Amino acid sequence: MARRKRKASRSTEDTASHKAVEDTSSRPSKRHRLLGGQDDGQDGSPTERRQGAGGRLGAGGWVVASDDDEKEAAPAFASTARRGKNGGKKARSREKVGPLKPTRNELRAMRRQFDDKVAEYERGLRPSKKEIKSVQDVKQRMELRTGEKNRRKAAEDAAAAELLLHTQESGYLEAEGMEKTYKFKQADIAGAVDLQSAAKHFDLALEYGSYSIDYSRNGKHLLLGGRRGHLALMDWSRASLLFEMFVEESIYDVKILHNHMFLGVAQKSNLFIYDHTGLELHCLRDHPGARHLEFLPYHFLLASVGETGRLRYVDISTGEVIANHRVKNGAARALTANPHNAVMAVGTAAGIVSHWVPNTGLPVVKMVTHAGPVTGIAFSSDGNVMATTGMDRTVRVWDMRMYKELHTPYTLKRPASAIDISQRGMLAIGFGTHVDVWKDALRTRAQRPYLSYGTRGAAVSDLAFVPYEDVLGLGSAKGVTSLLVPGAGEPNFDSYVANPYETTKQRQEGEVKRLLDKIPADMITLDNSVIGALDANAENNAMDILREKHESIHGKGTWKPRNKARGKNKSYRKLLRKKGNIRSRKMLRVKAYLDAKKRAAEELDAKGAGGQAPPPASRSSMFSRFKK
Amino acid sequence: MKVKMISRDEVAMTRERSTDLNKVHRNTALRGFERQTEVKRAVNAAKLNRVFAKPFVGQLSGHMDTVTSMMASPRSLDTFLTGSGDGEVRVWSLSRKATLWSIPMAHTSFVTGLVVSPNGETFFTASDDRSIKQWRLDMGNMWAEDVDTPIESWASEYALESLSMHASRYVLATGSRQVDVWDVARATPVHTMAFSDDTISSVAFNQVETEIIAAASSDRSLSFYDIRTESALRKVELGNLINDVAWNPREAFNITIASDDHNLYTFDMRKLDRALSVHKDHVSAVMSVAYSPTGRSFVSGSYDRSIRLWNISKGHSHECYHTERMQRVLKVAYSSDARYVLSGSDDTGVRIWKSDASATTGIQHPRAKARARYEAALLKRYEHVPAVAKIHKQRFQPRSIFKARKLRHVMRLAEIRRDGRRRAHTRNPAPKIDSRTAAVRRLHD
Repeated sequence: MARRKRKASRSTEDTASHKAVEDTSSRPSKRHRLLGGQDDGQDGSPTERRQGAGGRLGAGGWVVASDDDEKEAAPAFASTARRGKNGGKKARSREKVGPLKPTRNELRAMRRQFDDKVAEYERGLRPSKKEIKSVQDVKQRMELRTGEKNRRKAAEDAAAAELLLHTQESGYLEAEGMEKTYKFKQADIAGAVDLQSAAKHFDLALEYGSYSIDYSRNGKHLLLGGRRGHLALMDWSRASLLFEMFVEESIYDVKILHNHMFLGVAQKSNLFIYDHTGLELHCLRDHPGARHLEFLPYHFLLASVGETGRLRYVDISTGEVIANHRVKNGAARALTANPHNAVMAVGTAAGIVSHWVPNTGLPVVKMVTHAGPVTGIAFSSDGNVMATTGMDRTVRVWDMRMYKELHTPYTLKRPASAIDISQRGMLAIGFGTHVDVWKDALRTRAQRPYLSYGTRGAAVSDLAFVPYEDVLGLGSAKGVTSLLVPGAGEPNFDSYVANPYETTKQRQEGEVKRLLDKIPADMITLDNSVIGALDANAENNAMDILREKHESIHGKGTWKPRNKARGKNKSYRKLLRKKGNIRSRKMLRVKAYLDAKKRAAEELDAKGAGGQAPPPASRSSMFSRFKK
Repeated sequence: MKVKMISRDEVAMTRERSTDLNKVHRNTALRGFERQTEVKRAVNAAKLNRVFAKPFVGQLSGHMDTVTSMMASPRSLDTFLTGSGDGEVRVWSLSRKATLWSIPMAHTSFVTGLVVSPNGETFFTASDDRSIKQWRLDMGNMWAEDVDTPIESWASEYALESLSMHASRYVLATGSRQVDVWDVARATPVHTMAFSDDTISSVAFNQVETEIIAAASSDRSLSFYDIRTESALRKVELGNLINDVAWNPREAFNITIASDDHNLYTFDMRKLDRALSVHKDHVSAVMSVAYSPTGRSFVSGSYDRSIRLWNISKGHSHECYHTERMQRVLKVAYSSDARYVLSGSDDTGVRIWKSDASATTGIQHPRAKARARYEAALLKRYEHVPAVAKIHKQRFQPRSIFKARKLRHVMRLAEIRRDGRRRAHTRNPAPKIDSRTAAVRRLHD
């Protein structure tokens, strides 16, 4: 009885949600009114078009998008995975036939997939059973054995969890026949996807200058700042505006901090922090001329750089200025953090990208990237690849482990003005009035872009992929556009990292937890793995550093260790030496050795000069046995 | 065109009603800065550990003289017995922190030894007054009139300094000028063993290898006896007086001794030419040592008015307990569940301490337990990181101890320097000897 009741309640909720979605589909024009822009007619229509096309609408006016998808989405392991309401019927009919048994080959493939995942989670080499067995100490051996067992189990659990629980599949766009993906228009894509996704494509025509945009960490909120002082925060997927205002001075860059309650805005005079209602919380006067902002969510550090070439870090939880570095090589033109190790990359007018950590007043890495000013920097989500754009019209892709260029650069028709890399490694480049999205441009050198978009006359000023969505945000001189890029975003989010569906309570608790786990700024290092790792070669490290330094200047093999004798030349020591009153055994030994060496050399000289056998040594020494 | 976009159903991703638990989605690959976060959490855990470190549980007051002997009943977590310098014996309830009953004139002199029989029904006391007495420990009948009359008593030839009991049989060992082994059924000792005529300060039956006795005598030696062969096995001479000995209950061959030279020494009975480890931290004579039932740690009480807790394999203590009122600690003991430590001191007080300073008492929520486990694992992994170690290891110490340790450190450095100079100016200096080997002066096999 209870079960039936619950089912009934769910169905009512479902219809309610359908209604809500239907409302959203008709919202874009409303949104424009809110933002004071004009409807240019590019969006708003997909709904009608799709309804006209027919065939893809579900019972409640809702698209049956998940039917085919879910079949593909369910991984081989996910026999227990929850099925959607549309897949439910299918599952039941299968049960009648009997449970499906995987074939042997399928099983083998599953096993291999599982083993690969486990290897990924085991993280590097582990001691072998034989090595553990060779440990002498019984307690240590048992500790190692149980430790390894637990570690293995943890890796297996994590792998199984990933294979079973990552039920969302990433998006894709494939051309059929003579089609080319880069020829697809946004309207084509919007027409072919479900209503909910189609609504993610919209265009906000705004008239307050070139726009800088930023999405919150969970991809839910969009902050946009127009050069001519227009600032707005919106929940873009629900099309609700949180606030909109004019700051009455130029806005250069905007950044949503750890959540949408705090917003950093680089204005002409100062750096300001606003809250989600547009209330000014702080005016950071020690960041004059900030033009580019970057935020490190794990460290709660807001970094700014500008024309003055000063890279400033401020801890937003305490308000303390952590570091103030002088970046040379001309004015700073780009600022991006490496998400893997929180190292800041600053692109300068001299074409140099320098990498900074708060601890060190000099860049930890300096790379000559472009013949001309750098215009943009982007990192892949694993931090292994960096892409840069410059006024020399090239886009260069760099390996951040080798600090080398990965392949020959892409050359554009115009210098790029914006660049971003999506969570799944898609590269978006804005140049002139165009945006190109490249799918496999990082690992290999792609020949053709994946998608191409023309802004119809508006110069692109900013690009940002939406986290956990297949959407690319585009800020231009004429407003903000949201573009559909299937396959760009990570489909499976982590509730503890960024949750698009978080409740107020969850956001508040998450904020507290993250503040407790705030990583100190001095823990930012270029090599992320040094912390907590064993330094097996600690004694030699100091020497190695000296050697490397010497060899980098004078060439390999030129370094000789200098054994400094500290205190040897103190006046008191000199006096003692002169007096010779302490004749330690070591001193005697050294003296004997030197004497013998001297004698041997003399003998060799005598041999060479006279051609005669040397006279026998009068005293036997440790070298006597070498003489014939 | 084949196209699909990420399109999540909000209903499926969130909870149905507000009374449900929130749905949690995991993708560990997205979690960045794992190690750094763990280090930070370890720092937090270390800080919280220190914040919640409230080791003192309470005091048992009632004795009118120094507490000289104590033991927990092996059959009850609650029952605890103490004997004092004025010959009084008290039976305590730990949970109530109250005396159940007392025997005011159990002896006419110091109660130097107190043991509870393995079945927990009787207990024995030994005293300077040259007598051993057996008493009833009947918890169901504690109001009986005869609880303060001994069941049996034995007379010894000499004043008794120490008492120990066999793990399973009614056999006692006492230390006086010699080691006497008593069978409860007989009026005189069944064996008498002695290496020398010096007083035996402490005697202890091995509770696993049950027929072996260790005895410390005032000629600075530790000797081992086997009661099956009625003979002395081995004897090792150390540098200073031994005040107490305790066998490791889980590693039958390891024994720890509390020495007058401020240190404790752990020996492997089979290899007596070298100490397994030297435990240095006290700044005055160590008076008592007792092992945890787990065999992983032990507690020591010292004349420097402090109690220290040690890991068996570490050279330094991980905990130092003290209060302003606690005087010289003469006796320490563990409770049977290893969660509490008890100390008896000169100020006639018996104090109860937690063996884990920051542990919470009472029932814990499973989530709190899981959190404690996680924090312990973090601390174990990152205890060597300076930011963690600084907080994790630091202990406030009384001024006197702090200064004494500082002075000792200076003296030690001076000694090392002096030794180095002496060696530099000696023709054939003797090889350096580590403190573990130096602890042993002579070995008689």
